[in-house]
Amino acid sequence: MKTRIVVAYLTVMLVAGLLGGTTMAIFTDVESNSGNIFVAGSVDIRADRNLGDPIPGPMFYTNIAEGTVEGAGSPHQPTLLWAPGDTHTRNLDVRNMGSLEVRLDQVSAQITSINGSLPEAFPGMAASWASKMKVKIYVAGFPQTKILYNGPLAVLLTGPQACIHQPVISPNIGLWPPMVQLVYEVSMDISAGNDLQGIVPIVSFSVFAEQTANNP
Amino acid sequence: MKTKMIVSMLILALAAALVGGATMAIFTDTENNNGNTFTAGTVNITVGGTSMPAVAAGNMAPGDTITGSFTVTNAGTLQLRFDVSGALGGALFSGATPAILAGLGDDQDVVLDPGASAVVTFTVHLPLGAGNAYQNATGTIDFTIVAEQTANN
Repeated sequence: MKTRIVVAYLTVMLVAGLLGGTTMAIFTDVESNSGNIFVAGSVDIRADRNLGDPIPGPMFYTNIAEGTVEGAGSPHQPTLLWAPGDTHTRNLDVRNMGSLEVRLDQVSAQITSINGSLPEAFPGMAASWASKMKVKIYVAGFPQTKILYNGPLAVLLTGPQACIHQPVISPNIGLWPPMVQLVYEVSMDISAGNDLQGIVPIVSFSVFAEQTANNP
Repeated sequence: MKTKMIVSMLILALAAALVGGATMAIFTDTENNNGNTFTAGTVNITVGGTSMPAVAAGNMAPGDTITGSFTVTNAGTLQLRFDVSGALGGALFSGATPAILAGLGDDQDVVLDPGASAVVTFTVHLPLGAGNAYQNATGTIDFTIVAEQTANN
């Protein structure tokens, strides 16, 4: 009985509240702050070879013809033919064209052809050659302390490798995009055998960048 | 009741982790340097121009010295150096007073640029003291030419 009384009382109060609500007019106002602009930054890097000829061409080329890029001057640093024991170094200017600070976090490589054919046509030869090619990538002027990668080309071919040292490049806010110059030191191991005589692989080197903001 | 609360908390935590993971994207970019060509050179020799006097065909007499030659050509693309050795066989080059191969030198290390050639000259001398045991004796010489790159070597 007591429960019924409580329920009835609550019902009456609820109805009264609803009826009362319809009569509760109040003064209000709304102010807006419009035109707020949110521009997302950009991560955009550019890589040019540079041995006095900063153009977007390959760093390593056997002869002038292979290194020539249409619309650019003649290259002047061909490696000539490789022999076991040879080492060549080439520079790659990496510029920050974007509006966010970036760091270079990974590097990789890919064989795009061997002897004019897809590398899949010579799987054994590709693996043998890559195991005998050593690649050291470092920041120019810091061959001992700012090393991004130092190991076989074969490992670089397996996928992006986290850089040991990760150079940071400031955002591009002026006429001259900030840059870091990387040195690619490539060696053909002296133990490379006769099976690699005359081989002509073509390789792409990749550099990966990511924002530094909110990215520990 | 306690178990239900724990399950609910775990579900909430998992949902929060999934939502958090979905928002962990960062801006990235990749730049390639394409078309890097690595052409390995070659070490390759050819032998030709062999020259032997007719006397070698069977008319050698004790005391004779005959001179022969052949040409080694660098048919590869790398500079190389080569050595020549001769393996002797047959009765003429054995016994008490055998014929003697000379002129090759012990350590020739002849250097050849790609496309260049060198003439290798040798002599075969049958000592004057060779007796009748050497009449109609024959001998053979198998020359082996070993070439290697000069770069980094």
